[in-house]
Amino acid sequence: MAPQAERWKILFQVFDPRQRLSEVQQDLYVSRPGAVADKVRQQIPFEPTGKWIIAGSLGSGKSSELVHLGRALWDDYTIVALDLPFSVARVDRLTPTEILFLIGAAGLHRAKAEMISVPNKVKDALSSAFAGVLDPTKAGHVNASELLQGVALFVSNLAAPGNAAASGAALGAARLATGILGGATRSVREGELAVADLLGAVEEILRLIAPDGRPPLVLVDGLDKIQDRGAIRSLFGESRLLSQLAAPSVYSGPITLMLSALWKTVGDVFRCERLTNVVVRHPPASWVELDPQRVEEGRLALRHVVERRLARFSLGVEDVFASDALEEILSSSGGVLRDLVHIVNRCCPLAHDQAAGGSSTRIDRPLARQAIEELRKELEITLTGKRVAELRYVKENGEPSGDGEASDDLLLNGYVLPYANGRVWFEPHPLLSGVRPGL
Amino acid sequence: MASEASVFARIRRTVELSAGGLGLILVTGEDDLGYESLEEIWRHLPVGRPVLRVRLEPDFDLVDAIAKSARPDPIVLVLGLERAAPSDRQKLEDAVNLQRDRFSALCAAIVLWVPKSEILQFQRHCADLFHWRSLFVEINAEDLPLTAGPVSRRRFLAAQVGRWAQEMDLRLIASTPIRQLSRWSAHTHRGYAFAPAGAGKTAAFRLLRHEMALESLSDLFQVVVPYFLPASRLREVAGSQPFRLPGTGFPVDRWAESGNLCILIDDLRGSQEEQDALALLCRRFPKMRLLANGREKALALPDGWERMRLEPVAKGTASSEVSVEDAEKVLLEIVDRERALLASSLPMPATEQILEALGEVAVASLRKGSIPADRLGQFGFLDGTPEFLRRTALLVSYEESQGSGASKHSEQRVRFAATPPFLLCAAKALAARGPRDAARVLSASLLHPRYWAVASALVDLWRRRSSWAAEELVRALIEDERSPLVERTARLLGLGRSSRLNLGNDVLVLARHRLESLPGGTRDAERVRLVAELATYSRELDSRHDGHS
Repeated sequence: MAPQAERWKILFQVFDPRQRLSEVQQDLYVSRPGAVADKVRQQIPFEPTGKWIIAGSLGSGKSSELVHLGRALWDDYTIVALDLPFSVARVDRLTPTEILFLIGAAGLHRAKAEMISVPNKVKDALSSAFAGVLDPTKAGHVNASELLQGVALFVSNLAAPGNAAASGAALGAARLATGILGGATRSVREGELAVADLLGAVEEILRLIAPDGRPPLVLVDGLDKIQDRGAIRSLFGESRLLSQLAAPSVYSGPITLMLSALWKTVGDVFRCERLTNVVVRHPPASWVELDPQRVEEGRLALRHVVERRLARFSLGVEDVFASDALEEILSSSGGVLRDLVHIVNRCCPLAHDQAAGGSSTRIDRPLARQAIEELRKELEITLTGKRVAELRYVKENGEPSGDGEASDDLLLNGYVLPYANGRVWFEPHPLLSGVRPGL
Repeated sequence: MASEASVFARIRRTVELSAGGLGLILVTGEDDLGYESLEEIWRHLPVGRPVLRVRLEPDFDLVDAIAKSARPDPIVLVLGLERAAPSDRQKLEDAVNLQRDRFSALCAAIVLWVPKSEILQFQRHCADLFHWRSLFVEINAEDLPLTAGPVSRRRFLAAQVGRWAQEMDLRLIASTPIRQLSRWSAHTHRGYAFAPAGAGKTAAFRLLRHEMALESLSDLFQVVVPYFLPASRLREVAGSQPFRLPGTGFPVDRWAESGNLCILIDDLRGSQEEQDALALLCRRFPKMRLLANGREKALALPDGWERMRLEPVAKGTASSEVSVEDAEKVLLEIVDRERALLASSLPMPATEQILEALGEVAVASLRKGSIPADRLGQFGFLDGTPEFLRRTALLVSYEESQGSGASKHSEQRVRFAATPPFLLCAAKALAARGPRDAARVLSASLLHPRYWAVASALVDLWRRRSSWAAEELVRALIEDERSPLVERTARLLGLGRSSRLNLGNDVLVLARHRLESLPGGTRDAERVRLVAELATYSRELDSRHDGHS
């Protein structure tokens, strides 16, 4: 294979939309204008029992923000960073008591990593307290000690950077042990003794693992996978359990939280932070006032994302992209980091062919457009009449109708993107521009 | 979505680039194209990398299966979603989603078939996987070459059936030498039929195409696909690489190589160009059937060709068969004369054409608002025969005409609407010959692609005999925004959204109830007979179902 073609093969892997930024890749993290992680980091010292939810689109970088937050506060706090998607099969079915138990289990893992001895009676207390809230019909299938093994952490391998791949495989296997979780507990009442026991057991673990004056900070990633509005309301609004932990806690949450009704309900208990997307083009909604400088800042931040990834291979942006090509890609990404990575990823096979054919060695504008068109067609396959109607509504009104499954689906799947500039507005993803009349 | 070359080339390119890592390629298309699509993808894959074919099933661990295969960096073709019931599909998707993080440790290119009807659910249940895709392509039927597979064959054949109606005057039917041609073609591999101008050669060849297509549809094991080709395009076709036929949009090499294809060449003139093209075709595809017509007896032909003089239908004979000019009357007279043959479904040349033409006459009458009583009597003989399904087309067409403002309250409407023709005919075919044959009966008869979808869905319902199949059908029929016709059909069949269908045969029960609830005095004898027939068949299905379970 020609060296040029080989380069595209490497870049195909480098710009892999599957990969989220782990803590060992923090050199790739680019702080965006008004970054949520920095904002929460500043607030935590003043709210030692505060609870935050970071809500945003799929692929908008919530996990990366949490990782960045954990890294930034590593020296000052004992970070218990629970990775739910790696820990359980059905995040969407988790109950507050299960999440609480998993936080306790994550605390035990953290203690092990820090070589802090936790008395068996504390572990037993967690197991027995959890047994007390299990659904009686499922209790026979639950082995609490196995569950304790199946919990996955993130921001855990700073001490051993480079182990990310190995730990990823191991964690995936470990999750099988917690397969039963996701609706395994019974409904509980606030103030119920069993719940108080569980809360107490978790608090005790968190207290034990932070003996040196570094208070615990709980980070929970993955609750953004929950799609059902009822479940979201129940988890974050109706149940106060997640807000009762003494330790400051930060959760990632689904984008549908941004819908005003839920926002208000959940906002009574949590500080809700919107991780809106980077503004990369002037908004179509006429009522949005935006300093053109803001657009430039946004584009610059995304350009840095690309620059940093290329720099790892001693490549400059100009080695890989014609300047107008990258601009086209930035605009089409809608400011969604994963989509930016995805578009570049899609350019690679095309560029590979081009290089193999002996023509241009860079991603030029026609090639970028071809990749963008590929992705546009992929989204088009999934459009239905209802989805198109909702997209038109969003384009016209600058916000989702909030009416029904199509509205939620579009938000959750990143077809409708939120932005903020003092106030929040929504736009259809630029990739969908022109796929139907009125879009 | 994209041209054939670009779809498969893109898949191949993505597979190549993902070597040494993970590539996830999602492929979608009409639900029944899964197997053929993945086989075609397989044909385009780079050589040298091992290929695994796996089928998703409950409790199936894809990652584990790949690991156990011990093949380095394999390409994994995954089917299974298309065969699962909706409730099982969610389980399968959940299972795949559960494994998603373990995928990260894999070195494999996974090509996963997601039926088009499942895309939105897949997006919901496997949101991360959807976002992790390296490629997502839609494959359409026209992207696929014709294979010997039953699905593509049926699609193609169904498109051939009935085309004569758009291409020729109905009055020609009785005066074409189709009977002679039909007998001769049955045992001829390479042949040339000659006759003077005006003898009806072209019309006969068009009808032959129709008959051959119907015959193929009627026989699960017969794989002759007829194609009507004007000789003027012979050269273009013979030299095409890959082998293509005008208007098909896909290569047909494998059909030609395997002998499944029969090209009906119209109007050979004997030019050197034609001779060369014929010789090339014979050399290139020794097994392919070639039948041609022309005027010249002494036309130069490649070795091994049979010649046959096509005798024009004598004027006297034609006039005795066709005594009036009016096509409608011609047809009805034929029906009257041949009723016994038609009713007993004995082979008779042009039976299908006659019945279809009759159907058209009836539909035309219905569109005007009514069918004369004497004509109704003429349709009556169809009851209880396999040809009864002709009324299906009438019914659907009639219902379609309702949308255009035709009369809604005629006796005929009651009569036609009271009959569950799809169901009854499919049931009969099923009882006599099995579900595939039921599908064939329906698909051969309904002709229109939209009806084909209805038919195949219905047969699926029967085949699976479970509530999800019925629900699936209802969903497909009712929620398909593009086709109000099928929605009305579904309503006619009693497949309301709220229907609680426990078994496929509940549809029969619904049909029976509908018949029972008809106003008294409306063709009581027939109603009683049909009710009894449906009840019997329901019981049979029940007992068979019990036996199976």
